[in-house]
Amino acid sequence: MKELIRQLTIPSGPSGYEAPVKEVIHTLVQPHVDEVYDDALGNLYAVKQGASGPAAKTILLAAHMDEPALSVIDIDDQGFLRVAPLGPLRASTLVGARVVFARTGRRGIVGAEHGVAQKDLEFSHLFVDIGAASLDDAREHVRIGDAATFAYGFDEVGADLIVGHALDNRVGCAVLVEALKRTHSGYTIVAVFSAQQEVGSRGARVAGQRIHPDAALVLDVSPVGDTPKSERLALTLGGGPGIKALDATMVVAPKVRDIIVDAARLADVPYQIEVSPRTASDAGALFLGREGIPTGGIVVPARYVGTPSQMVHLRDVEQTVTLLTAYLGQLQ
Amino acid sequence: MFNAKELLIGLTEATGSPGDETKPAALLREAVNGLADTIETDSIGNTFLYCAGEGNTPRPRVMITAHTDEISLMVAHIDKGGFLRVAEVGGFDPRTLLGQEVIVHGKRKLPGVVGSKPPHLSSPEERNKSVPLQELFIDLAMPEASVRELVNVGNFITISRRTMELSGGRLAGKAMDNRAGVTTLAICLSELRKLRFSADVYAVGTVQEEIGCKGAQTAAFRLLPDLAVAIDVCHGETPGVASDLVQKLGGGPVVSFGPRIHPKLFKRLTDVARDANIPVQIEVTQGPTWTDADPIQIVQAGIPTALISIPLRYMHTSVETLAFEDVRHAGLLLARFIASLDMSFVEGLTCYLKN
Repeated sequence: MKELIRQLTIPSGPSGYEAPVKEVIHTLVQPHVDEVYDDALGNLYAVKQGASGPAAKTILLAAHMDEPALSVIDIDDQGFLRVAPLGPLRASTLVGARVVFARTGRRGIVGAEHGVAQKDLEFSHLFVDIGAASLDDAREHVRIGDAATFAYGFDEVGADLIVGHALDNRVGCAVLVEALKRTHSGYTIVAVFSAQQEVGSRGARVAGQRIHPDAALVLDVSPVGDTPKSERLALTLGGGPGIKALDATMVVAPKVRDIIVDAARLADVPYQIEVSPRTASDAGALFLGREGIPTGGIVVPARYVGTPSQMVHLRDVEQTVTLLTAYLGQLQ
Repeated sequence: MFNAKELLIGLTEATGSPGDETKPAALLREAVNGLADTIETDSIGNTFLYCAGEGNTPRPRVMITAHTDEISLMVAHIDKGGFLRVAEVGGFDPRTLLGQEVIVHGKRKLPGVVGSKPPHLSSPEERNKSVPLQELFIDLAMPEASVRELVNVGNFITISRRTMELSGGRLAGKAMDNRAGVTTLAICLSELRKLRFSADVYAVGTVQEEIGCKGAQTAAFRLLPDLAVAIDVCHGETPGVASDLVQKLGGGPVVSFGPRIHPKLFKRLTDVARDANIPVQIEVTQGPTWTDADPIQIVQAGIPTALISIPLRYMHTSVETLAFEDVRHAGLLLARFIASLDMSFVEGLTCYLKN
């Protein structure tokens, strides 16, 4: 599992530029599914036919591939880049960050103008230094519109904890890839590796309309409340998978949630309930597909979401796969 | 046959959080049993009551909606000592939550109260500020172990409040927003049984309005009606609020006008009200109406949509106050409006140039 996650966090996937992630996932899932295809927005669909035959009901499983990034909006005469955020990033957390441009692999450092208090920092105060000597030199490596993601890669802390800049949500992608290998379900599974979640779940919206499944489930990460003076959230790292009850986009109907809870009990997987009012997910967009899609979610608890160093517990990831597989296995 | 005022009181005292609207929906189904030709519930909980019109097809297809959910809280964290911290599900004003009685929907229904630090122990600065939601907690007066046994993060919490009959036919209670609209649907269907009408009517009790008008959007996609009327509440006159922002309690249902409302539906509603001697008030809304009407209007190729509102004081508190007569009049207006519809009117809705 650790190796799978590491493999998935290497490619860069700014919202709207997810192709490198998609290629890796395509190769990984191909041997385990009946069909793989993509669409105009950059979603990747992997279909595994249900055991009940052509009459099988359909479940859509969504894990977003994209990660927050910086988009180049201007290059000045000295070759410094001005940037705007793609997705939810706070300017004050970025000073000194190392970034890498997805298209060319050029690296850079985020700097800030002098004289602005950290709490007042906005994106207009930031620039990216790619070591260019001039405007022309910078243009050799970066164009307006290029996107840069964090360049921290994958790390381990102790035996069970992993850290990375894109664990949100390559961990969800890894869970989904692994579940496709292991699962036998009565339902036809349409796994959607979705594009553009960070900029408003645009990929999930069209996937829900296109597939119009009988049910949908999102796989994502969600912040915990177990660090010193953290936000008062109920999830804890290592406490087991979180079953979604509420996030910023969605209230999960109790009857949808209870099916997942029952699956966790039957499979003897410890679980927690996620109530996270400031966390966005693909769930809200999927729910609104056509005549409405009953939608739930399973999340991997994560520390430091929204920073370049997200941390998850490997046991939580394993147990999330076990829970998802058990849930899918009981669908008839 | 149901008594409309008792229905409204029963509906307001029932609990139905966004995502869990089964109780008010069941009361609605029970009330209209025998009035609707078919009754269905969809996969996300919307309730569809269908009444066939008479005459040849094609007949006008009309959707009328009222949301069945109410603003609620959810258990977000169980603190040391068994005190519950909450997240909101729909927009409460935290100033009005302090001191409320609530029901926590755990393994069983548990009564509790909303507490916070008392004024004696607050700093002068704190005393002059309202308590934010994060600092409120719910006290179930049980040992922490019992709380953990009976309550889980994710359980809904609703306000506990008996609906009160005030003088002058006014009612005060929780969830008048929008059980008043749900009652209007039932009154309308009952009134339609006394009238001849050619339209096929789909009355929909929608879900999850308070968290983004979700059920109405998917219901409209499912039905793709020729036209739709949403029923909700609007602000009633209140001391300290400018008169152009509010409507009179007891002055009749409010018919909205503005870019989200089809002008021909507005005109037909006000014409019908005039001819039938039903009092109405008019509200102009330049931007969003913040009701089911907003998403319905832009489903698929677009749906001509109107909005009828019941004036209500103290919105999103536990003492939402309205005049029952406005609810009754809204039901009558809606039924007369439906009875006035024919295919030539429907065809005219896509034509803005010709009158």
